[in-house]
Amino acid sequence: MNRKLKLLILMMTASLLLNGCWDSKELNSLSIVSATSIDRSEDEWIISFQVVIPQSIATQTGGGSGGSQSPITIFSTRGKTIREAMQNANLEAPRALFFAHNSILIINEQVVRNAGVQQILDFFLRPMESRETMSVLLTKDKASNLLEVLIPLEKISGNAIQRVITQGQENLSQVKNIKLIDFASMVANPYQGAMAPELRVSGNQEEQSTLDALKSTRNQAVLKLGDLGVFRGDRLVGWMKRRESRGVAWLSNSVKNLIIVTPCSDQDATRLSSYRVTHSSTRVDPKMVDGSVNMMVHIQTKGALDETSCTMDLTKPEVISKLEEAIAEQIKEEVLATWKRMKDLNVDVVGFLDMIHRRYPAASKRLSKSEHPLQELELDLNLEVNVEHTNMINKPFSNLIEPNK
Amino acid sequence: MAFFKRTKQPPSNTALLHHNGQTKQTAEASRLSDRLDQNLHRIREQTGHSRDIIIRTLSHMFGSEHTLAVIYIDGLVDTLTINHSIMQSLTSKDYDEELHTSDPAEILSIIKNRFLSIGSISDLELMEPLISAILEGNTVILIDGSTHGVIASSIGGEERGVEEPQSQTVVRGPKEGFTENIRTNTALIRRKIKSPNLWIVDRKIGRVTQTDVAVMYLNGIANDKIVQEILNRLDRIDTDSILESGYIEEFIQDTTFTPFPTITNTERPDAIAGAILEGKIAILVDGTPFALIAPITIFKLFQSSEDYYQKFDIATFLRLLRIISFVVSMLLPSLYIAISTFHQEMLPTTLLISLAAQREGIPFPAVVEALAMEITFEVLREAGVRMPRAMGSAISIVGALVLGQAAVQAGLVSAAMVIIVAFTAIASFVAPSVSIANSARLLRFGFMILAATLGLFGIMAGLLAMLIHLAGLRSFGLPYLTPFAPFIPLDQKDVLVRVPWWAMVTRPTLINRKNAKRQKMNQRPSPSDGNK
Repeated sequence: MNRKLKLLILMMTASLLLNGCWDSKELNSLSIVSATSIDRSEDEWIISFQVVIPQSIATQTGGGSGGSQSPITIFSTRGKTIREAMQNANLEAPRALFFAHNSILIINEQVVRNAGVQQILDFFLRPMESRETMSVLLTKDKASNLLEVLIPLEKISGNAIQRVITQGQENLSQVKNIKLIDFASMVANPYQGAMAPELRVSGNQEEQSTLDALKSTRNQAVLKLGDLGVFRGDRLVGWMKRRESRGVAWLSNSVKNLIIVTPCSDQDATRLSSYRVTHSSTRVDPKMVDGSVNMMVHIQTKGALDETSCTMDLTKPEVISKLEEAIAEQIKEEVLATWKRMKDLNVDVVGFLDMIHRRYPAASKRLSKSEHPLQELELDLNLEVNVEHTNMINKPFSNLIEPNK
Repeated sequence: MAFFKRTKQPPSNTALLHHNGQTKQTAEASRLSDRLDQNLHRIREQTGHSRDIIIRTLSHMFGSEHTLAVIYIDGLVDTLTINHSIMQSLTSKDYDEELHTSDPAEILSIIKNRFLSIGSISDLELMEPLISAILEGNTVILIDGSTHGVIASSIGGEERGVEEPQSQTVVRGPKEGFTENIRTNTALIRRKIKSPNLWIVDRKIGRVTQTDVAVMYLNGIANDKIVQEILNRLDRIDTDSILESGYIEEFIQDTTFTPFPTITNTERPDAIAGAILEGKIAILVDGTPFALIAPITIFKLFQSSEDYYQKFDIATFLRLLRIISFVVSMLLPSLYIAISTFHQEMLPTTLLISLAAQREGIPFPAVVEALAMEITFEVLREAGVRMPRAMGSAISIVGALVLGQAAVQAGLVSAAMVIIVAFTAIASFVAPSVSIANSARLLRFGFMILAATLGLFGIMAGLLAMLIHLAGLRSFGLPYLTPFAPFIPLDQKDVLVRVPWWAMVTRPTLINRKNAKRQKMNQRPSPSDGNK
């Protein structure tokens, strides 16, 4: 072995040891951030972090006093840019903030109305350790207040919020989990408006922020999903009520599980039935009719009757088809209400303009010049409702009580 | 490097013990004298008057004047043979009349041809063979007045019987293991392969120990080149002692500086028989129950002989399990270090928090914790092997309670680390071959250092380097990663998976190119034609 080779091996070995531990971080030197909120006051960003305190969460700890300590703690910092604010966290946090497990981003309404989301998105898409799968939420209150609310079942409220959203998305299609990457691509799409759900505190937030709140059986405050924030470009332009956000789900083919409540008959609005949608598919076809574009919307749903207080003979096909008509009427109302709201807000959250852009580029060009492109579209609804079964019992229970009706 | 050069110098010849130190003497001097007392004196001189060398002189036998001497070493001989077949024959009065000669050479020939009821007998003229004959356990008969002697085979003495192998146990399969006696061991193999083509080539290695080494192979199936290569390498060995097959292994293996074994060893005759039938070559060494198998591939080290006795599906599952266990025992601590100090984002949030909670208050970085625990375990393990049996329970209490539970409660190590180390340890015991488990044991520490400095990137770099090294290894010319590199489709049936026996039509092709066919095709079990 010649001298040079020996020297080379020696240098390579040394370089392996000399690099130290690169960017290694021990687990007990990390502040694991589970949720982040963004507020703005005057010209400064206020960033709040919900940091997990591991020893109060894990059941068995190395001699720690778990249980008497709050599972989370909040840091709030200010800065002229988001990064600066975050950097300032090092002035008060004893451990380095670790964002890879941040699952929630809550943005205050005023921030997205006035400043827009472009800077926020840029900041969260840029660093290596932040995740694009975090859920984006809006709030009408001070965003950092939401981080402070303790949730009894889940110790880490950041995770709890994300569970509420994903749970809601699965079982109640009007709720949609908007991931950061989806949100960014919606914002970036010139033909489609972005949307994000609202999270609100209902009750006394102050009371629910201490560990004592967990000792009572009834919560002083809960976090719940509310309206749907609608964006034009990168700015929030308005809110859709819960009922209106159902129409968005119908139009954007994201209905998986939804309950539709219909009255038994037009005369008696007090007696109601519940229809559970189990399968639904929405097909939207833009069509040119006499120079204007018609959106042919075809909704096909299958489902089951889950509950009724009506008296009717469900074994008869004509009764079922009457029921189906009533349900279709309900869906139609929901969709049209949303459509109206969309036109009012002048935001296309469903992506109609995107479809037109693909199908009829020329028409799309003309529409994009218009101030209110949605006003120029016609909605052609075509519903196909199918009550597949009525679950375990055929006859409504009401029939037993009032057999003569 | 200068250090190596110095140690590489051969030891001076004077340091070498030479049992036949009189090589400088002329051949004439090493011949037996016709005077018995001179011969006996020389024997006594050369063996240092050792008390276990028994020289029994019988005088005035057969009515002649000549004195007979029966020489053997106590303990090496079979006492029954000495008493019944030699002493009784020589002292029997019935034969007195049959001797009508006083010529010592003739008497010796009569003794040899008519008196000794022993299977193996040979003549003797020189001193050296005489000494080595008695050292092997033979009996030498000398007579006054003759320069010839007789060697009567009486090898025997105390030895361990055939027992169940300790190091490689099976649930199903033969329960016999090799013993320290090479003859017993070759017989155990011959009993399994009753073919005249099972050839044994003998060598005596070790100038002082004169250890018998037997190379066994199936003529016509084993690759002649490999047989020749093994014999050449054995012939090159010039050392004073061979006490165990490990000596041979280190002398003849292809590469010394590798953590991976290129020769494997086994205590099981059935494993050797199986290897021989595949065309491999077995090397048996006298004095040890561990026989060597060469050439091997790395996959051979994950195979147990039980794989072939169990159903093929469970055998395949177990093989995969062993390979996974090997990877686990090599990489688990380093993966834990890498992920918990570099790639925390890879863990699920709840797991991360639970690990973080366990690490709360631990004073050491993860790598120090892991190294300390691994070394502690290695110490425990070594203690378990070396310590007297009676103290076994003490060690397990100290190991389990003090080092496991107490260390966690004292906040010195995290509970997760104890789990990691424990699982790593258990996984390392899965390997059917101790040698491959040992390679994982050593590599584990290297990977832990790499993980602590460079994270998963370091582990990946280490694995790549290991793969390159493995691809470069040869075992007697056979690439170590056969049949994956080079890829041999025909040989895949007995590597990761074990196909049913009826489908195992060919032997590993790279080992024996000339006679690869093992059995008839299409032996899949089905009802006989008449019953279809």
